[in-house]
Amino acid sequence: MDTTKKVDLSISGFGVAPGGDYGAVRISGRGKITGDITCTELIINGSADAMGAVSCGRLHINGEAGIHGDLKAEELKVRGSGDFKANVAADDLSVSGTAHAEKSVTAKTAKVSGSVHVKGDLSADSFSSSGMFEVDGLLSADSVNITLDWSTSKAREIGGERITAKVGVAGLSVLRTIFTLGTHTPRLEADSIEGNSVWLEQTRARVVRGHDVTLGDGCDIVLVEYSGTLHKSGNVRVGEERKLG
Amino acid sequence: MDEELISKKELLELTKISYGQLYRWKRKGLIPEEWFFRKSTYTGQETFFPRSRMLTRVSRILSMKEDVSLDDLADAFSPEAPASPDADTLTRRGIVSADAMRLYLEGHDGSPLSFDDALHAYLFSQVLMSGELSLDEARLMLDTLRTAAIRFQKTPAQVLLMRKLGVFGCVALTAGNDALPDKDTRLIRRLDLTAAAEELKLKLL
Repeated sequence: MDTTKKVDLSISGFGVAPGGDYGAVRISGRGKITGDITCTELIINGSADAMGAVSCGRLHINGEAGIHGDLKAEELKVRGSGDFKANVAADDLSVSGTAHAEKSVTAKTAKVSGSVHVKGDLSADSFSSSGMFEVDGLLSADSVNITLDWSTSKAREIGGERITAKVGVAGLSVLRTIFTLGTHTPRLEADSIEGNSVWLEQTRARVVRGHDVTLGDGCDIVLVEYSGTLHKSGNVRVGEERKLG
Repeated sequence: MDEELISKKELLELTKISYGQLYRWKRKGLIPEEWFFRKSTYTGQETFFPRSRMLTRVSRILSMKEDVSLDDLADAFSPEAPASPDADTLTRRGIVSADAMRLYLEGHDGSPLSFDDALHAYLFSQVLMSGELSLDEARLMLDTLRTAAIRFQKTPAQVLLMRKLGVFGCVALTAGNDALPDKDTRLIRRLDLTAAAEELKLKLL
């Protein structure tokens, strides 16, 4: 084990630093890191660009940041705005601000309360969202827990063990409809949704497959295939139902 | 390569695995990304897999998963060679029979075994113990394996063991190639080295 104390780095104002192996790194003004960087923590309060790969214990983006190389972090919190040009891997990922990923994102736990756009796949052991997400590829997790409040979330495919999408308190409110003139409809859109147990509300999908499938108010599904049970309640449109096995 | 495919739906019906398992294995890298084909069908885009490779892989995962972590399994299925086992471990764990190991080491240069060496010893032991090849024939197979590894700069994909009118011969092939022996030649055995390497890694877990 490396026991030498790593150098801390602090950029406030305007600064450029090369990559390297650091302790705590703080960027409060406007900073740029030109090479690959490894550090115990990277806290970005102003605006920063990391041109190479980033590997760190903690990455907090409170301001705005562009990470151009692969990112590995134990904890990744995006409270401001994060732009990730390469793959992102984090144990603990939470986005309360805005995150945009050009490639894929993997995490143990992923929590979205802000908004996330992933151009590749988003994989996690557990995924929960009360914000807005758009995944161009596959959203996959053992448990996918979606609370629909203000906006439309989308994924090409959703797959996992337990998948739920339910309308939250704000989504139900009559005041929401009045204040937004009906423009902010809580909805989930996907091409396919596959899980052992699937529970959906306000969802539009081409196909839903599962062992146990429950469809609630506002679901519009072209094809439902299930091997166990199918429950429907409220205003549900299903094109075709197939019981398998 | 034209390979027979299996749809995701059929795979689940046939193997009794769940969507949760399939997606988890995909995330853990137990099933390579390249095995997921998206194809248009009359119901829209569906996912397909290479049939025989996928069925083998699933049954292997199912047979192992009780006592081995998914991450260890993922390592076993990765094309990277793991840390090389020593001769003693191989014989003690019954992966290579003691006699076969002794005979194998006679022809070995005395350096520590690489993973490829262990793989060769494993196959050498298999063909000897099954009685399919005589000692001289098995040595010829070993020699072919080693030469092929040097000539192709990597382990060959397959080795065909053949006999014609009682005379033994073998052919090493690179991936994606097949060989057609003449009509009097009997194929004794087709050794799939990728599968054998996987087997060996699982046995070493």
